[in-house]
Amino acid sequence: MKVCAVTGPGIRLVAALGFFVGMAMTVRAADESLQRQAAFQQAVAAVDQSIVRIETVGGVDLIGETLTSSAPTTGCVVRADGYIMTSRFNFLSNPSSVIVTLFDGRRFAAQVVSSDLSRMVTLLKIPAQDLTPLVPVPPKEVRVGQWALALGRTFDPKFPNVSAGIVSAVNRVWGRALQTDAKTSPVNYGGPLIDLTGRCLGVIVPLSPDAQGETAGVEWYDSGIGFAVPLTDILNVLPRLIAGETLKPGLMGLGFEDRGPVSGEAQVIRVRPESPADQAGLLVDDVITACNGQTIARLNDLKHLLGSMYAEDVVHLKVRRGDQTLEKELTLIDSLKAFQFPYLGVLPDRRIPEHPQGLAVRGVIPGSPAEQAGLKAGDLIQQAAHEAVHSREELARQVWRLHVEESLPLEIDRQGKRESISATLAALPAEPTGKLELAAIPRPERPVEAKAGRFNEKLPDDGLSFWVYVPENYRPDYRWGMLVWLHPTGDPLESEALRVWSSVCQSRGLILVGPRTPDVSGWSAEQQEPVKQVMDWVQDRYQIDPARVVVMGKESSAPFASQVAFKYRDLVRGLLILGAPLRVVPPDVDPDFPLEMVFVSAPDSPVHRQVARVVQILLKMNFPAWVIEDPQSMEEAFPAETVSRLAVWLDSLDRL
Amino acid sequence: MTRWICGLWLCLGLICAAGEPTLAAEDVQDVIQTVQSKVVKLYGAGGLKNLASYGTGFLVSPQGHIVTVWSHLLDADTVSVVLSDGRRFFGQVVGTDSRLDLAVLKIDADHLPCFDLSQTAVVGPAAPVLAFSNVFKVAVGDEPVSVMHGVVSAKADLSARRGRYQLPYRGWVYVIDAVTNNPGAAGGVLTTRQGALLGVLGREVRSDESHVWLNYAVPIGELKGAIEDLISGKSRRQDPLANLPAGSDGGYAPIDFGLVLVPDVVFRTPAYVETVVEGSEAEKQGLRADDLIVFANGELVHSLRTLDAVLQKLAPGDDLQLVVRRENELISVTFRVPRKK
Repeated sequence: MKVCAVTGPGIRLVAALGFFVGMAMTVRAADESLQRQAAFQQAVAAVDQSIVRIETVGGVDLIGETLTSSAPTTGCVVRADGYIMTSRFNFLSNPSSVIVTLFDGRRFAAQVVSSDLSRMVTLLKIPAQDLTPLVPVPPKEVRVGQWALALGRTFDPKFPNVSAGIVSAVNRVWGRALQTDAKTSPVNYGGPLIDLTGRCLGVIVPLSPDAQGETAGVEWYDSGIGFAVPLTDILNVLPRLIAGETLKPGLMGLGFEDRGPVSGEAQVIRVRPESPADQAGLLVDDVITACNGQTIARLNDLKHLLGSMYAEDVVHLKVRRGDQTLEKELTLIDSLKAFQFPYLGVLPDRRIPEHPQGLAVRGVIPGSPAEQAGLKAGDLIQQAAHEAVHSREELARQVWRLHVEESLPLEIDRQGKRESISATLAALPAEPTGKLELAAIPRPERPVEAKAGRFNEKLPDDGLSFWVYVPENYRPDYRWGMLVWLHPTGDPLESEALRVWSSVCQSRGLILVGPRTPDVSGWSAEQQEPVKQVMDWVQDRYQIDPARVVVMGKESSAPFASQVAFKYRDLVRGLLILGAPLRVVPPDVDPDFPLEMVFVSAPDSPVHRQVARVVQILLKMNFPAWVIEDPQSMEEAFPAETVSRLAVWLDSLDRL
Repeated sequence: MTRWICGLWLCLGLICAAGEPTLAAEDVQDVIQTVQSKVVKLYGAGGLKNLASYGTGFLVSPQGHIVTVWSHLLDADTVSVVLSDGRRFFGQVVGTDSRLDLAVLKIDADHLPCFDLSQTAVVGPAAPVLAFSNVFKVAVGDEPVSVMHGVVSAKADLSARRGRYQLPYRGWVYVIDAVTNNPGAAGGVLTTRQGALLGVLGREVRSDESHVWLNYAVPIGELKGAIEDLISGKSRRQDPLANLPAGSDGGYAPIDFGLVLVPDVVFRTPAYVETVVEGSEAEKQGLRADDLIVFANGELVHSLRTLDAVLQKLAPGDDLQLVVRRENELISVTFRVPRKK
């Protein structure tokens, strides 16, 4: 193939010779394309016997909104005695039965042996012998730019479907996967990514470096960004998986401030109690400078190293604390003790600008630690835990770095008199108190320029259309909550929502937004981003309180509403679900992104039992979650009593 | 210096040409130009939300017969046709075939470059291919249509799996490893890298089950006869869709074979056997309570509803083959479908 190297664009400049050389070149080009075709086909034929088709029976029909897939999927033979590796994606619906079909048409009932929840692969066993396992490409031989074929057995049971591309990168998704531009999608998830010699580079899985969760990365299907878990990595842990062990990502229990991908050293801002980090004696403000012998210059270096590690793995850290350098060793675990939000019981004042000398208290919740400590409406909190506070965010930082039952010293100013008090923090109650005095929303002194009332809008470039209700008493020197109404399929309930919620919006200081689905069949995952843009649209034009952004869904729109809430956790603080349970439970309570949840269901409704179970699970995970049982919710979309309880909740989401 | 290197190139080139079998192949750029000259842009009805008012077709006769997909685009009285050299014509619909999702237009012209339907090709998976179409009407002016490259991902009969893809056409298709099926692409062509016609690009279709967009082309061999009939005026205008037999009797139910299945409670209730009627055919075949029916006549039984659909299609005298899962064993039984009482 040496000739290839010298056939370049310059050749045709030589007019006298051009004809002959041109001939030679075209022969080469055509020949190359035929040779490539032959090479692709030979490579596919070489692994054909190791690729199986997987079909599932039964199981839930939706994971979030992404997957109703009961289409056949693909698996890879990794051991001759019947072990098949596939993508976990294929098993999200928890099928009751799994059928594996071999290349020769033989069918077997399969058992799910175990899963690797870090690399998102699942191991199956079928009662078969003498299968042909895939041969891995040693990591050292993988070259970025080499051909890579992504194979599935989903279209034609007799011959694998092929997508051709190259290896785009190695060590992606925090060290867990190869990247390829071959098209990966449910038609080949679980199948092998192979090289042209018929060896396996990896098992194709959906992954995302930014998002976690069961379906992360699926939205990138066919995009030219695909991932495969190196087969060598899988074979390394295969004995553990065969033994039935579920492998989970390893956690330390440290929180870092994420200042973006290129800057910021790994400085600790939170140590989760009873975590490996806590037990090893790490403290807030420590800086991790090395991990397992590798220098950590930036936070991402550390994330990269830890990304490929499992629970039970041991890490050696070098830690800078002031002038000292400490060495720490800790063993990663698979789950942290759930974070519990500590609670003071203070409602911050919402007026803008904030008081220059401290945080003004709008009110104190009856029975809360703040009330017991003697705090009153109108007090000015100047210091918390000996740190000056001026805003809700500053007070929140002090409250949330403590634990329940710890005490928080406060310096307050009461009508010019300075006082020191101390409050013993309690656990955040999910359901707010029944009575909550309305915040006095001051009347605007001058006419307000912002558009108010109900009006229709559209995102630019023929984007999503939506309606907005801005209360007539809107004024920009006050923080307003935002309630995003994601209507169910069919009846968008626009006039009903406006009729019921407009008075709540006026009295509780909320702006109501109603995006409209462009598709009559309801919301799909593709509309998550447009809905986020609608929320941004409102935030750009109105004074929105970041602590009171709530997404509301009803019945058929509930899965979409919860997806939006879980995907944009940096933005959404509340999730309100009417007449439906959750299909997916959020991964973890995250002190950086608080999220409270309310469900409304009628005790007689068919979903009530599931709703109650979901709330129990959420409470066990320490999520603030509660349920309103209202028989009227079968009859009316927004029954009056429920709405009045929700109004209190919406009004108290900024409590601390 | 340059001259010397060129000389070296020539030598290597000649060695190469001499050392390998000569191939009757054209340079891929020339291939693309030749194919593009036979592909036309269509503009017609549409323009409303999600309905493109543009599409693609290709010439199959020097007299201006153009093949495209049968779509809303043709609802206009005339369709604007733009040739690759920018010439514009009005096209009239000569005939349509809804069964094959096919339409033939005619423009008033002569001596046009066109595909010869007797010179087509068939290829297998992993074969490199080119796709030509007026996708997203990117070719706004007088220029030829867009070209994409990729490989054949699979050859598959997608319609056999009912409901999986809402294909307007029944039969096998090329699944293409390139994002070819976008607005305006339907009616474009899929060719080999040597320019031989393989198929007609299909519409935008999404899998009902995996929700993934499908890129496919209908093989030209399956369309050839119909195209020739439409051109020769053997009208196939009678629409077979209108003549479907009205729903026949109710088909069969599990109880007709002596099976009582679990009640259908959720969207995807697995087809578990609840009880087997004593003395029934099912009992004779050895089926038992708690068996899970996983295949019926070769079709995967996702749920009671899939099984129901299979039973509905049965006629007396047919075979019903069931595969059931019992523990970790797959057991196959075959029933002869009885006459209905």
